[in-house]
Amino acid sequence: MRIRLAYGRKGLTIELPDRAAVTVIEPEFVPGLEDERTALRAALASPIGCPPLPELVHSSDTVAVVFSDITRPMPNDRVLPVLLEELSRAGLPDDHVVLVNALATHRAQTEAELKTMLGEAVVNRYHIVQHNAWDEATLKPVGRI
Amino acid sequence: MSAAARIVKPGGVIIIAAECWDGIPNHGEFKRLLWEASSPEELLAQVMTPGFRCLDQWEAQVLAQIRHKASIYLYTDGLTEEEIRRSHLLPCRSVEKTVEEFLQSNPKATIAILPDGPQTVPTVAS
Repeated sequence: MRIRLAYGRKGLTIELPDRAAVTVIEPEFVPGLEDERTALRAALASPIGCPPLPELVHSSDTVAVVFSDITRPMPNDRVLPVLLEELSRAGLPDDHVVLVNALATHRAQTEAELKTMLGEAVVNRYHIVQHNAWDEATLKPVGRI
Repeated sequence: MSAAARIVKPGGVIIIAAECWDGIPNHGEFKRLLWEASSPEELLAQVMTPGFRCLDQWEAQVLAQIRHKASIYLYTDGLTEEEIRRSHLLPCRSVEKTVEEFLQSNPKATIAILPDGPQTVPTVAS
């Protein structure tokens, strides 16, 4: 019995003897979107419970976009360009946007890692801040739970 | 690990294949908590001490609790054998060979494979 395990980026194939009493437990397969960009644009055009971005954002505003860090399998490089394009179409200048890496207590990403995560075009075009949970000078209390 | 722990028999074996491409993190307290304890029991006793609070303690605590239930082997390219042992896990150089060894000592062993790891959350039917 040959089984491919999720391992790193390439996977790991293992071969187990047929005499073994093996149960393979797999997630239900959900196909991806046929056209991601169109689906993202449609979702941004009709958000749940709030007006679409062009109605919320004015060219004088500043906008922070928080993105998942490298420890999460989030396709930032496919989602952010569509979102940022929407902000740009709303008239927001690029230098009014800051992208914040949601690191929590994880280590900061390197420049090369950011380019892999977000795409080179996004990294070159926008200001990126890496959240640092240990640097109080860059943090502000907003409430207690 | 915790997905497999839900269905492994007490005293059973969990084999994890994880690349650990970024090693064991230097940030946070996970490594320090694991490595400073001489055993999972000591780690749990420390965590259970009234008033004890430490960042990332949940990660180390969950690992130690699972160690109570099962032996844990780790197949990885990202950690040395010493790092694996200091983390209270057992190194595994080949998933196949490790499975074969256990099958030889227990031919009736039942094996569950979770190819997508924590993407599946198995439960034993009651």
